[in-house]
Amino acid sequence: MNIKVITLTGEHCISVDDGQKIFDLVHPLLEKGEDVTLDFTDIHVCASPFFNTAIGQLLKDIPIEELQGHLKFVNLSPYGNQVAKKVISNAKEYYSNPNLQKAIDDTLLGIAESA
Amino acid sequence: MKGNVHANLAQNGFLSFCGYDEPKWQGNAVSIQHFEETDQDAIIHYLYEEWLRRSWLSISPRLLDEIVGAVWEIFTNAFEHSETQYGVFTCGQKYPTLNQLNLTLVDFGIGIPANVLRYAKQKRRDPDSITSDKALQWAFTKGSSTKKGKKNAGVGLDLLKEFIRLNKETLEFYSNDGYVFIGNDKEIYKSGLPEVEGTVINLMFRCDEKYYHFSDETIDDIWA
Repeated sequence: MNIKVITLTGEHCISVDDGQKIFDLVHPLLEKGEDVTLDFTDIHVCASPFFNTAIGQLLKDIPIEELQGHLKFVNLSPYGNQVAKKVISNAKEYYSNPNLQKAIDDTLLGIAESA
Repeated sequence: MKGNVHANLAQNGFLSFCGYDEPKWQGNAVSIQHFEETDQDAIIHYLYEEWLRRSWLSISPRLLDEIVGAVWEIFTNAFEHSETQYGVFTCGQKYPTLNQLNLTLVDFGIGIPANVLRYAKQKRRDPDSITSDKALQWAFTKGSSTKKGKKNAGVGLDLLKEFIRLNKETLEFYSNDGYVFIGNDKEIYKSGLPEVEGTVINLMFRCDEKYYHFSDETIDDIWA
């Protein structure tokens, strides 16, 4: 399925609400193993709250290998690509190990306490 | 009040905003604006039309979009984390001689250090041992977020920091008694400053596209 992102979000992909619209559409399709292409033609502004919600939370229950095979991004601006890449990298770490968040918190808060 | 301070406050609309009969006018000031909530259309319109377009001599649409995206991270962060009861106030100023453009955001929320300390307490850490500078350092570390909840989060400030670093701009946060400076290839965190109720953020941009580092044209594998 080819999805023109602008038809759901308008010309900016920046908010949690718009990210949720994309997530609600693509999540069931990807769970069924369908191919999905997100077409970002004419999208101007990109920001992390949108990508955290639209893409990042897919990694909660769909393995990254499946997403790589079935979810494609086209016509995403270089900055949008950079934002999405950072969000995906963070989500991979966050969802890959349920104890990781606790470990990150412990480590970072520990550093703050001891400094 | 000194004449030039009065003129600036009148020009950017602060005095009329406070009820004085002093109409704002278009000069080098970017008018004061109050956003009570995350009104996406109003904020984006302000950034494009009031702040960037009117103040920059020439800027490509692509750079405009990148800057607005990076600055949006600050707005959304303020609304999501500050717990402000009064929304966010913003204004700006162009400095023609320096060829620089400033944007300031203020919220009267809980403040970043107080938010981190509360989170540390929830995590059964010792909040008394975390000073504001360390709390701010934690907040600016990739993957740190006091609002993880059901979704991953914690990349917004990291993205902003990277944008500031690449483009050699400067970013300052005053929050509670803490202070952050990011710029000139340095990151400085301090505590023990006079207390600010909430957070004040100052961004300083250069008004010349030739200094800007565009995101890499090569589209990397997004999954790598």
